Amino acid sequence: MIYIIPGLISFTLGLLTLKAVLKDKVPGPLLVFFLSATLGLGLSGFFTLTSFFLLNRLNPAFVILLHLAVLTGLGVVLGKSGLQDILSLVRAIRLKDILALGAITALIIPMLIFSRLYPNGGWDAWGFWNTKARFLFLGGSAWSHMFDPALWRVQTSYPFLLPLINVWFWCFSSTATYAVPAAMTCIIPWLTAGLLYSGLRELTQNPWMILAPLWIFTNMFIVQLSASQYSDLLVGLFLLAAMIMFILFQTRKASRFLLPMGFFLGLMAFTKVDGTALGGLTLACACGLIISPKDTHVSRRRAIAVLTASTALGALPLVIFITRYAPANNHIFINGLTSQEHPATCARLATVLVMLLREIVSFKWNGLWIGIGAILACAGIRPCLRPGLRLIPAVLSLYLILCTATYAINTAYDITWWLDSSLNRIVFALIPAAMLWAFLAHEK
Amino acid sequence: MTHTITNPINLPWRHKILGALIALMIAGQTVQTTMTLARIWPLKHPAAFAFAGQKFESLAPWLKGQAYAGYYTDRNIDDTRPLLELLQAQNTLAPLILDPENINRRFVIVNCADIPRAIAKFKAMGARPVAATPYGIFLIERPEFTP
Repeated sequence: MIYIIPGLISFTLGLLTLKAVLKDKVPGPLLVFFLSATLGLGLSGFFTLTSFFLLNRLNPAFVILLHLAVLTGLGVVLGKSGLQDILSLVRAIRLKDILALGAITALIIPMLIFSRLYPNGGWDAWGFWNTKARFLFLGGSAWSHMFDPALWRVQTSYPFLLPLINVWFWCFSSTATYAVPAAMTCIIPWLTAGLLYSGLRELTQNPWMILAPLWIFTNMFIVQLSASQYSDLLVGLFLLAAMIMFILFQTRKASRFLLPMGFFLGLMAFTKVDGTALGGLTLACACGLIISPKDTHVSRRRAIAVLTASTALGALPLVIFITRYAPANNHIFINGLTSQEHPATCARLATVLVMLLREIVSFKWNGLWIGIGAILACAGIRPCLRPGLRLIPAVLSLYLILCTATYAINTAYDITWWLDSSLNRIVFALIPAAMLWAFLAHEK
Repeated sequence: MTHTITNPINLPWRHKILGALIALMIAGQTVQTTMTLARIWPLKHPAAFAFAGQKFESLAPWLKGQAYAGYYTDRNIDDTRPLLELLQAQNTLAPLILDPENINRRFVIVNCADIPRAIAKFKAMGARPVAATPYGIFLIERPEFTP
């Protein structure tokens, strides 16, 4: 129960930040609720990291006081009228919103059961993410030992936002209990489901959009992946949040929405290496679309400046991590283009392409990807590629090309094993954004 | 066109068909997920907490204050099971660093396929055991060792 306190602090932090940034452009209450919780979790991870960067150790009192100081500062900035606006947002919640929230909450029941069966999560959870969280929480000033070259199997060169979020919750207890990662693995899919529904609802006003998250999170394989405590959950959540912000920017013609979008991209970049690639691609594609004459509604220069600056702010931990801490990990990368012993071959590329295709049509997804493809096909090319939605297909296609190239060129691992163990998670992180695209394309 | 209507009867036919198909899919998935969880719950429940890392927990007090410990196994560390045990041991004993590549450490965890092999190994290293777990894992020490 003690962990409700950091949860509430994070949520309030996200809410006040969102209100301070979006001002009079805040969307509906349900979307604000899920965006605030998402932003709050990211900010809490960010603030927890400052303790390590500034004090070279975890100081729970410092982290909690930093949260409270920022909350107070935001309260002062917003003033009485700003806080009253937030209260009026709460009053705007309708019965339909509460019913939808109930349906979304029911989705986490199977995940709760699964996380109780496997409290330590999947391989990457106990192998990398939770081990890093324990180093951060228990290591004192030796926390940076988690970058020791002897630990290369723990993926020392990976960023670590999810462990930091877990550590933030642990700040309220004396032990690194597994209840926190196990609870987080239910909360993040819940936020993803809620954000997907509330984003679709905000953009279409259609309550039947509740079908989208229900379709995703009733799938047994997705329940299993969701309860695995992997960082891919956060990548999927931040990508979805960034996409919703970009669509709101384009439809409501307000560059304010690019501020949280950029911050989500920066946070995503600090989540894992895949997130770094996805964040960079999304930023580049979004800037390209803003420059594109057809898509612009506001000052292009200002929009690009806002997006780039907020992404840079969100990615600040990543920059510090790369420049000060990240060790070179030669065990996980061999350039197949130059290596004589492990060359990249056409057969390897063919294997990647076949396995990618096989993954998309695999029975474990219960036809989810085929369904998304069918919805897009029914919607037609023009609605799928209309100005407000172009970012999603651009990012998804470029990311899949990048992943294919990485699998083909990095010959450090046996390709069949590597694809078997990682491709499903890469595809999993893209589902919420792909579903957003399909439902929006079909709706209008 | 944006739909503000909530009654499904008023939706265009294309939306009705799509909604019905997705609802059918959701119902099928819900049944499948429920049945899967009902099947694995009684099977997994007693074994759900069988985390290999727990086998190393009792060694933690002996290693308090140490930055490194060597990790020796006579199995191929890159095979699934030995790697799983190493990573789960690392998880349990963090912030201690387990080094499987270098056993020239004061403390070494010996996790062999059987106990006689473990004993033979630490005798060959000239080390003495300081702790053993019920799972045949030994913590050995070389007090005279200087890095």
